[in-house]
Amino acid sequence: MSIFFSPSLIGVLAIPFLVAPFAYLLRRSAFLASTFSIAAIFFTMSWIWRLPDGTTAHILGRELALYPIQRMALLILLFSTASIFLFVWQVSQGWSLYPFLLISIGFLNGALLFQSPVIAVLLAELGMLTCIFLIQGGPREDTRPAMHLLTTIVLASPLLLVAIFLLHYYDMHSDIAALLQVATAIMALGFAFVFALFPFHTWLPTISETAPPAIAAFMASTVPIVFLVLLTTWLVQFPALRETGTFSHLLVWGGLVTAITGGILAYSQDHLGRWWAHVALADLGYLLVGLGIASPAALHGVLYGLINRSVALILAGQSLAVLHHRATGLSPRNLQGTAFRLPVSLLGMSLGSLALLGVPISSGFLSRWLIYRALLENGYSVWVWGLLGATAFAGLGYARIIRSVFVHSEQGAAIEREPRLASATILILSAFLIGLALYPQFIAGPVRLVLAMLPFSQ
Amino acid sequence: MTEILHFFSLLSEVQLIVGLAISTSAIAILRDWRWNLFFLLVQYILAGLLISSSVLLSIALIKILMGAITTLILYWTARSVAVSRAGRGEEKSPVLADGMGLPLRFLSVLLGALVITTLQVRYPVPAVDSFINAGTYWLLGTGLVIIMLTKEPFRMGLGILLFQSGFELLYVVLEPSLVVIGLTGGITLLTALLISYLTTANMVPWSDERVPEPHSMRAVDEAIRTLLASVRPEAEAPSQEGEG
Repeated sequence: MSIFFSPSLIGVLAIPFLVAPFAYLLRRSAFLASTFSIAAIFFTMSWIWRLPDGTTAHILGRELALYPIQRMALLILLFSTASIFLFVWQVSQGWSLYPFLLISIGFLNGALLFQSPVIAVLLAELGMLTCIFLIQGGPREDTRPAMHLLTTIVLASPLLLVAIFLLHYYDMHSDIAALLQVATAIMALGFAFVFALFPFHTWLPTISETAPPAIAAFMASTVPIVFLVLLTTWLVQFPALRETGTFSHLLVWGGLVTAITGGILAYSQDHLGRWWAHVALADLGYLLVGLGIASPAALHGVLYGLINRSVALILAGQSLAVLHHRATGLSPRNLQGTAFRLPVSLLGMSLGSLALLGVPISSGFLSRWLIYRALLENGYSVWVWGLLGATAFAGLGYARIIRSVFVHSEQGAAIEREPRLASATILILSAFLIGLALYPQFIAGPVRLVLAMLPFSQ
Repeated sequence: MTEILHFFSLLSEVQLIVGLAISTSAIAILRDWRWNLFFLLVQYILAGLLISSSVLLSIALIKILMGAITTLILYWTARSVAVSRAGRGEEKSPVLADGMGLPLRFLSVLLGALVITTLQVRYPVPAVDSFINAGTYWLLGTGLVIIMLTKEPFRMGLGILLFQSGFELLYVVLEPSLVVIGLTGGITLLTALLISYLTTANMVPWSDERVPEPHSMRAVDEAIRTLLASVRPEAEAPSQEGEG
């Protein structure tokens, strides 16, 4: 019985699965289902907060462990989920959201806590598959986004599992140099699928156009966090992967191409959801560049960027959800007049977008600055200009879409005002981002703790 | 049933591989959902028998059982969709016509077979015997061919399941632990449920009966009644309705 009263890793893993059936039974009432789900998430967060570093547990002979990087990722993951539950109280994103999101979080928690890379990949795959039910969200003729994501997941996880097997095999047969090269290439391809890197990026914009925006935000923010943490821990677990330098180069080049392509493609979008998805991709590109360079400054940039990204994506995603809900679409035509009817959502969208673009005085700037500096110190100066140009393109794209919100129209005047609670959530997240921009030292402690456990950051 | 199992157990590894090649190609070429599901089940049985020489028999049987459950889930879905469509005067099938004719499908499978045969010889997976290697390549290859040939959730789902089956054939030999087998089995079942859900969402008109507004007191009342009904069966539960 002690499992239910004192914090434990098994409890952290079990709580979302245990409460999901009750959330399902309460799903008809947004108030009851949201309150119950948020309470469960905060309870789990309190346990994660209270457990000491290095806590371990075993399930079926497999080890679970909580180190600073897992703690940070879990808290970000659960905070994002709690804010989504609070938000959907007022802006419905489908009844099935409560139980399925809890189950998905349960699997993703497991992916972060299990130390076996194989189990982690399989649990992350289960977590992502569960989200597909939410992306489809009921009777809709267009199953393309859901099928697209399903295919991507099914193709990606075998690649990662085979790469892990080859890396283990290489540990025993290190004389076969080709094994490491093949494992590196396969792993890079697997990550390219799950991170939606260019040219495998199409699932994310498709989802952000057609799926409920809060779900798209959840997918865009949580899935990369889980896989970035897995990637970081594997770089520690398999030293051969970083010692050859090939994987680091692939990360830097993959990140650069994605950041630049994402920025340029964002310019050409005429749908706010698709624009947001491309900017999210570009932002992920920067994080991969930082991880590839892996200097202390670059890794600082990655961790600051990770926290900024999570809050910015959820903020922008929730603002998009309100805009979509009230203006019945996210094309410039639908958005006409929303500046006068939905000002809080537009404020949230703009703050989230600025943070994702990493423009000066936004919360994303510190991360960008550190990564730009790392690029300059490592001889990528030409690429920095490319990145700046792509960011400018993305900013212009936003200005092009958003100018329609100031156009007066009959349709705009008929738009219903924002729900109060959703506005409150958006304002709280906006305040958090502004606070992060003004006082980044607030998260310096946790960032230093995480960096201390990464041997390649020294 | 015993005779069928006895017949399968007499097959040599070469015969199993040929059987796998024929059954997977048939899924790619034929459009009739009954034949598709029949060959999917045959494929699961053959793949299970193929790994039985490398892992414990109980593990092979678990894989076959998972395959049978997956096929059953898809059968129920396909049948209910077909009946629903027939009721609306449409074609009695869970698959819409996609303009991809038989000759084109046949040619694609032929080209796929050439690529698969070349790859399995040139790039064999280390630490795995040649039959598992060949079976894996066939399943992965034909799965990919089907995924590329169609946009229909049902047929694309069959391709995804073949691809997963090919990977499991390989991975169960590389990592024959029960936890991994349980998780991969769970992934297969969840994928089958997803395919079933997407096929239904794509084809069947859902109930448009009015449901209570989620912020109303009626919604709170119905949620509490549903919760109570789950712990006290005699309590009256609100009627189940289509949901989004």
